[in-house]
Amino acid sequence: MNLNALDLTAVAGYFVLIGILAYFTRRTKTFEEFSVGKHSVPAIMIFASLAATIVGPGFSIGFAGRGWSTGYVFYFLVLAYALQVVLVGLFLAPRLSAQRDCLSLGDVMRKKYGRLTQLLTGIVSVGLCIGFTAIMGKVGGATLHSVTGWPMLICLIAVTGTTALVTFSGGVRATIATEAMQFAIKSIVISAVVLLAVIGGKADLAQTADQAAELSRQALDGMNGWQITGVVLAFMLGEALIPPYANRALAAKGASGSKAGFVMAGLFCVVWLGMVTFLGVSAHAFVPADTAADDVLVLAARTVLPAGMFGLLLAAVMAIVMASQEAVLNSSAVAFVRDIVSVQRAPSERTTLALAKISTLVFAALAIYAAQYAPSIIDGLLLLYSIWAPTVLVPLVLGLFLENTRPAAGWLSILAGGSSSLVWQMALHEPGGVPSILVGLGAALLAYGLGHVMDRPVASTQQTGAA
Amino acid sequence: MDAATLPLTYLFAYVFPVAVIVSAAITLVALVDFIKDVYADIRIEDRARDRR
Repeated sequence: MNLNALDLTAVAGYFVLIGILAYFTRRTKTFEEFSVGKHSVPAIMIFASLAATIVGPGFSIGFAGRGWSTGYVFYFLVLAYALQVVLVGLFLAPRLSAQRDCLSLGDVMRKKYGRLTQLLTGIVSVGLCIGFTAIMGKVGGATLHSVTGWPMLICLIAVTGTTALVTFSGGVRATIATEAMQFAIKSIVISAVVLLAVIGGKADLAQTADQAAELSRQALDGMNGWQITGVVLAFMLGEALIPPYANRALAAKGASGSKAGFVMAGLFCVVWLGMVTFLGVSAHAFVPADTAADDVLVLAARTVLPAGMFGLLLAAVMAIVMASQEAVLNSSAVAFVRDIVSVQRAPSERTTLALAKISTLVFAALAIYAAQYAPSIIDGLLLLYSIWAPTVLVPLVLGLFLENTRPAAGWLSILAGGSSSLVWQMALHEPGGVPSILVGLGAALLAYGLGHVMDRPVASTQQTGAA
Repeated sequence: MDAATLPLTYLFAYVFPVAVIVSAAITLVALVDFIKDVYADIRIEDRARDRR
């Protein structure tokens, strides 16, 4: 695929912009600055950062593919996700934001359940974040590969490596600033693609509506009740308060800023997903029928955009991938240093910051390796969702509401929820079609109750964060 | 779904893209303020260090 001067200028301009933002927000002298930006980020930036992270490859490239193959069905199922973000904003994010002495999700878990639960939270968080980084890197790498023809490994290194450098240099404030810019770029470009498709006459609305109804009917006929429940639950709970989102709540200026940021991001999901789903369905009118679902967004945009504007699309795709990667990479480093390395004894401030920066690069390298074996976007996300919700979500949510929490409730819930979900999915292959996330959540709740009954409350020293 | 599909399609095709562009514009304005704040923070730290 040949790139002309305008395309190259757009791509180069994108990287220059990211470089300028990283330069102006680069300095991090303490681990607190690196992890939560001194708890000083305003609501609108929390919104932009969350929206940029949420609208990653899965909710853009992957979702256009779902529109292409299943019409509007997935849009309605995934509204559960938007609802979750709004509910988190209304009820959980302000409580999380109130934990001003916490720099990570594991810190919150330690206050509620002690060090073992913090360590388990850290291990799950790091593994999950590397998995997310790998899946997103695979999408970005594949796009770069299809455009440049470079070897896949080089493309994976180019995409994830650039993200790692931005995250390495500036911590969470640099990450949030670049995410906001990336959010703006992808929002403007993808919206322009949709409007151009409609105004330019490529997408006929009546025809698209018929196509959507037909595809939706076929998709619904092919799904049973358990499958629908599984998808709704996975999207409703699978990403709830994962480390990058929890870190945004902790980085917010205050509880009200955190609340407003999450609620706006949830509402933005409703709008964005509708727009991208429409693009996927309408593409049937102007994209070859044998196109793979994950290629629909890029091909549709390439067809619609005027000659010489393909570079803008490339910049938007890079922005989609990198924005999500930055947030999860930053969170993986924070979780590793704070919840795994420092769980017994914290190293000095300088060593902690250096470890956080180095681990950013190491986890990026691991993600590049893992990306070569990652499944398709949506399948990969659903797999990760089935691990997060049954492990950390139950003790986290209950811990934010309950007084007198018990240590055994925390670690038992994580171990029972995670292991039962994995065994149900990997070894038993979801008997009867019952989704593993449901089994894992049930086991986590039971184990939490058991641990709560058999253990004594967390020592008051731990409740105040001194442990 | 059929009866609701056409109005929904109009909503997705016209209203939502405009809403997304407006969100992006608001974010860009906020981003400039955010960078100013962060950079001012850095300058204050620099001046304090120079004085020491």
